[in-house]
Amino acid sequence: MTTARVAASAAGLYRRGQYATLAVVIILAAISSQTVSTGSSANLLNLWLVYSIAALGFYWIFALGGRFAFSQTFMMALGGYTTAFFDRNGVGFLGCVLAAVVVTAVAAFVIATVLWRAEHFYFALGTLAVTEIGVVVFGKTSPFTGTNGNITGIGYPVVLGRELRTDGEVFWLLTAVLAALVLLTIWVKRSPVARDLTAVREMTTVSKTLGVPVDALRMTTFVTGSAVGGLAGALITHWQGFIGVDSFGLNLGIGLFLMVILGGLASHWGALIGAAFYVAVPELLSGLQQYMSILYGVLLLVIILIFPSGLIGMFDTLARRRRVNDPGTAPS
Amino acid sequence: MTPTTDLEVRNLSVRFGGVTAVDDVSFEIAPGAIVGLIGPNGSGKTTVLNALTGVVPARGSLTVGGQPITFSRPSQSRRARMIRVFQAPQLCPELSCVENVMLGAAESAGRTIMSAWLRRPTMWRRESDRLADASRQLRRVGLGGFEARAARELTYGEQRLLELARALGAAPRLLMLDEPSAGLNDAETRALRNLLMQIRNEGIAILVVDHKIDFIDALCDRILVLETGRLIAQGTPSDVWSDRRVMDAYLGVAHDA
Repeated sequence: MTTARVAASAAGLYRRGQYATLAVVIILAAISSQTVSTGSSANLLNLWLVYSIAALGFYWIFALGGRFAFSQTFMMALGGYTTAFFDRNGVGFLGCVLAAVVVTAVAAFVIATVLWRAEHFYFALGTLAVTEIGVVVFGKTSPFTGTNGNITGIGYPVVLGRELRTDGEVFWLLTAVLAALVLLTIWVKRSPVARDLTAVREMTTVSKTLGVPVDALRMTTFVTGSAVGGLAGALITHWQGFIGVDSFGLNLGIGLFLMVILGGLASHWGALIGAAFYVAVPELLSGLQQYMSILYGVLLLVIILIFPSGLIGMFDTLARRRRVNDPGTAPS
Repeated sequence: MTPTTDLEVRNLSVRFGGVTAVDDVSFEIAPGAIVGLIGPNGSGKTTVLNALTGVVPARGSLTVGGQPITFSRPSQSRRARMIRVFQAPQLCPELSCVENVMLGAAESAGRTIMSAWLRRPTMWRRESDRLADASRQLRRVGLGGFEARAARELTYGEQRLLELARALGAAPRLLMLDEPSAGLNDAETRALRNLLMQIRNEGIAILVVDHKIDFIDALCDRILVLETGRLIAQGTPSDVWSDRRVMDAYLGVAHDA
């Protein structure tokens, strides 16, 4: 077993340092949470965590599964309304969230089955149609969607009998969930499945002739990614105590796409970095008022043009340059 | 290994809209046989391979080892261990050579997302077996020591050998090769012929499409000749080359009315 790992690692098969990076990210987030335990910064930190979870789900669909889908915000909304529905019917926090994950997973399975033969843009358009229908349906008044898609008074998250009322308390829950999801993603990326997923994306037809389970992998990545989106929707709903259909429109859908592209498709860390950019930069530029949109657009253009592999690619390039300039640290 | 291949194709037809690319073609391949599939450009050779691999819609019947195989189902062709090497190398350029070979591994256990989450010790054990086998296949085609190199760093000829290693790692009973000698020099072509002879000695049948007549002549037990989608001749090399229709198809001589 050890020999296999060494040889495989030499072959560049399994990226190292992932667990250490995860630990560093958790520590950094924890330090940030201690310095900004109240006010809008704490709120932004939690928003970053929730968006990171949703973006990580989209990473599963787009970067791992190789399919572009607009349905991630639909899944977030479905997760949110499902958790709100069960909450109003007296189900506990964990039961509500579990129900949200299961319902979104089933919905994703149904959508993927209906759009089974749709490839590329047609699949994307099909999922866009689902999202548009979702916006209309969720905006109606019903026992499931409340009044015009707005539901208030949803219970706080409860973990081990303790109600998490403040942003600082919710932070730990969101961090734990994100860390667990990153860990599950790392395990997939450090496994033979990562290789099969690469083949599914890069040579779909040839993969089928090789016996790679193309259909099963596409379905699993779509369902998993969508369920993670549903989980993000459920968490944000309990955290805010409110759900409104406007929060899950096409803008956020494009935002999630931006997070993953901007962060970098090559790594799951890209989703987290992209989400940080998406949440933090408008906030940092908010003092510039009327120029904010222009500056934000220019910044995006610059990053995409100079570093097409995203912010994670930018860090990689800089680290490599540093190693070249300092031969002492270059890998032998 | 005991010879097991017994492939029978009956009335194979492939149509693309109004165009008939392959028209009512029937042939058999005996265990361990090397069969050449030749014909002018556009005669339907690659389409026959596509049909056998299940990547184009086809009509007719196909049995392998007495078991019927449904056309247009790549997974069924794969399960029957009919493995294809493409005309232009079809590899994942960013993956290493050993990973590219492992993609085709016959052993598929421990390659699911669930096993990546829940059964990691078993997964590593299976992976270890696949890795050892993939390295063996690389050495076999002359790419020993290439394990860790990215496929994109290989020359065209090496990439073709890499794809052959991947096909061998899939434990084929029928190996389908699409113009394997294209782009190879004389020495490389000779080496390839010797390798294919070794492979057939293990009981693996080979169906080879190629334009180099010398290569086909020296390699094949039987030759199938296609012209505009129809099978115009089949038999031993000497039978085929003495066939008038084959000479016409290749030399462009018209029959007298």
